[in-house]
Amino acid sequence: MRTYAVAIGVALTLAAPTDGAQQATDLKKVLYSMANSLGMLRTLRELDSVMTVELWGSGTVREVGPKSVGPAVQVKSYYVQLAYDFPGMRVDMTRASGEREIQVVSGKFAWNEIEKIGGGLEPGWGSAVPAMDAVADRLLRLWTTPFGVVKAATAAGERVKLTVENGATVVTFPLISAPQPGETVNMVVGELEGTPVKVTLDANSRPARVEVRYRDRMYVTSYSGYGDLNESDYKADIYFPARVVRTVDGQTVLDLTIEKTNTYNPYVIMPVPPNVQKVAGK
Amino acid sequence: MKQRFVMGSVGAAAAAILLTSADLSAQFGQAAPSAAALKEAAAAPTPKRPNGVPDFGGIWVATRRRGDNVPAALDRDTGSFSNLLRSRTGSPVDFERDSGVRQRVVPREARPWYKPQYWERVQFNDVHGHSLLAPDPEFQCMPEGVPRIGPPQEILQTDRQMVFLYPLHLRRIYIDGRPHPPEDQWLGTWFGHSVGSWEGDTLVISTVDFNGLEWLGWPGWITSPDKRVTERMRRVGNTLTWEATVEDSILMRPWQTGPQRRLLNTDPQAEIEEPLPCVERDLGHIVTRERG
Repeated sequence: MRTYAVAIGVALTLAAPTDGAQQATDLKKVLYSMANSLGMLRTLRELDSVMTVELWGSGTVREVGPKSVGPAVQVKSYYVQLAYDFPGMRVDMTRASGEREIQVVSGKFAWNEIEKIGGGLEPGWGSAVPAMDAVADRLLRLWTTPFGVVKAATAAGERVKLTVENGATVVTFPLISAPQPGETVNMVVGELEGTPVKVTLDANSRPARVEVRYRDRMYVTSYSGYGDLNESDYKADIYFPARVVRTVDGQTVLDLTIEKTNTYNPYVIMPVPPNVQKVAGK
Repeated sequence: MKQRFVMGSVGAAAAAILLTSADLSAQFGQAAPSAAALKEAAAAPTPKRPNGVPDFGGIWVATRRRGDNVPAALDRDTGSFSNLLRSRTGSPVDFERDSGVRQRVVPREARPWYKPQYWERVQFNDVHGHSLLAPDPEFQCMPEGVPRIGPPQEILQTDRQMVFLYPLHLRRIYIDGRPHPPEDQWLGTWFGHSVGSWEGDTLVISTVDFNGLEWLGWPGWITSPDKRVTERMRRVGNTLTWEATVEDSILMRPWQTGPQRRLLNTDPQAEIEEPLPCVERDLGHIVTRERG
C-alpha cells in the first residue's frame, strides 16, 4: 500500500537538497498538504484513497492541431472519467450542435469511441477508432489533473523540487513511470517520461496552475473554485476545482465549468478494444 | 438492518468508544491470530476421513484484517479501534465518508470487468445502494449468495455431502459424484446448486442455478442467472484457505475473489451463539446516499 508518509519519507531520505534538512521537511509538508487539502488521504494511516473520479461540466473547447488551434466550440456536456489505476481517462463531450466525441486513453493506448461509450467491446456498443498519436496528450491531461499531479509528484520521489515564486509555493518534478503500480495509482507516462511539470499552489496548498513544456509547446492548466462538488446528499470531503482553463502556447483550448463530481471511486474501467491493441502492436 | 452493517456503522463506532476497560480486556482476548499462530496451526496434522479425503469438519474462525467490519477491538499499534481505522482521524465523525471512499478502493485487477452495457447500471447501483432505487440485497437482509457470503463459519461433512453453515444460512455441497441438474430443471436460487470434487486435497466446488439477484460485492456489482462459481478450499493442518472464481455472461472475463484464511477452533466445547435475526428497518428512512 502506498502511504504518502512512507513514500515521501523515502524520497526525502534519498534526496540531497542544497539547503539540508529544513527544505526536506518543508517538501514533506508541502506534498502532504497537497494530498490532504484535496481530501485524498483516508484511514488513520492516511493512504491515498482517490482511485477513480467522474465529473460533469460544460464550457468551450478548441481542437489542438500540430501547429495551430481551431475555433472555439460550445460544449453543452463534458463528462469525464478518471481512473488513475488503469491509468486512463475517458472524455465524452457533446457539442452544442449535438455532435458527440468520446476520447479515451488507457495506459499506452488511445482511441476514440464512436456513437457511444463501449468501444465496440460488445456488439451494438459503438466502435473504437485507434488514436495512438493522442496517447501523450491524453496522459498529460490525466497526470496534470489536481489528483494526478499529487500522484505524479509522489512518484517522482527525490526528484521533486520546492521553490517559492511571488509568494506562492511551487513544486516541480519530472513525469516518470513507476515500475510497480500502487493501490490507487499506476504511473504510466509513455513518451512523457522525464517531462518537467511545474505546479503552483494556492493558499490552501491545492494546485492552482500546472505548467508543462512538451515538444516545444507550453501547456498551462489553471484550477480555481475548489469545493466538494459531489451532490448535496453524497458529499465525500474530496475537493475538485469548479473552473478548469487550459491553454496551449497562450491560447485557451479548454474553458470548463465543473458542475458535479463523483469522488467516491465510482465504477470506471477502460479495457483496450482488440482492434486498438492490434493497431498499436504494428 | 444487518448485524454486519451495524458493526460498521457510525452508531456502533460511537458506542465502541464507550466500552469500559473490562470490555477492552475482553476484546484483547479475541485479537486476531498472529502470523506465528497461523504458522503453528498450519503445522498441525491434516485429519483425513476413512475414505481418504481431508476432513473439513469444524468451526472455522475468521482471521481478522485491519479495517474489516469486525466488532470493535483496540488496535495495539494505533491505540484506536479496529472498526474505526478507515476514518482519517480515528473518529466516528469521519467514519461514514472515509469508509465509503476507502471501501471502493478496489484495484483494477480486483474489480469485476463488466461488459459495457452494464457499466451504467453498476454505477447507478453503487451510488444508490442504500436507497429504495437500487438497494443492495444484503442490506435488505436477502441472502448474500455465492461467493459474496465467503467461507463458512462451520462445516459438517459426510461422505455424501458437506453442509456449510453461515450465521444465518446454510449450503449443501454434494460430494457423491452427482452432476448438476439439467438446466431445464434449475430453480434460480440465492445459493445455487453445488457439487464438490477433489483435486488432491483441494475441494473444488461448482455452483450453478442462481437467481441473478445477488451481488458480488458492495459497490453495486450485479450478477445474472448465468453465473457459475468455482470455489477452491484447502485444509492445511488447522487452517482453511478459500477462494472463488466467477464466470458470468455479463462479465468480460472471470472474476476472482480471495484467498481468505480461516483457523480451526480447536476447543472441543466450542459453541456458536444464535445470531441476531436480520430485520431491515432503515431503508425507507435514509436521507443521504453516503454509505460506508
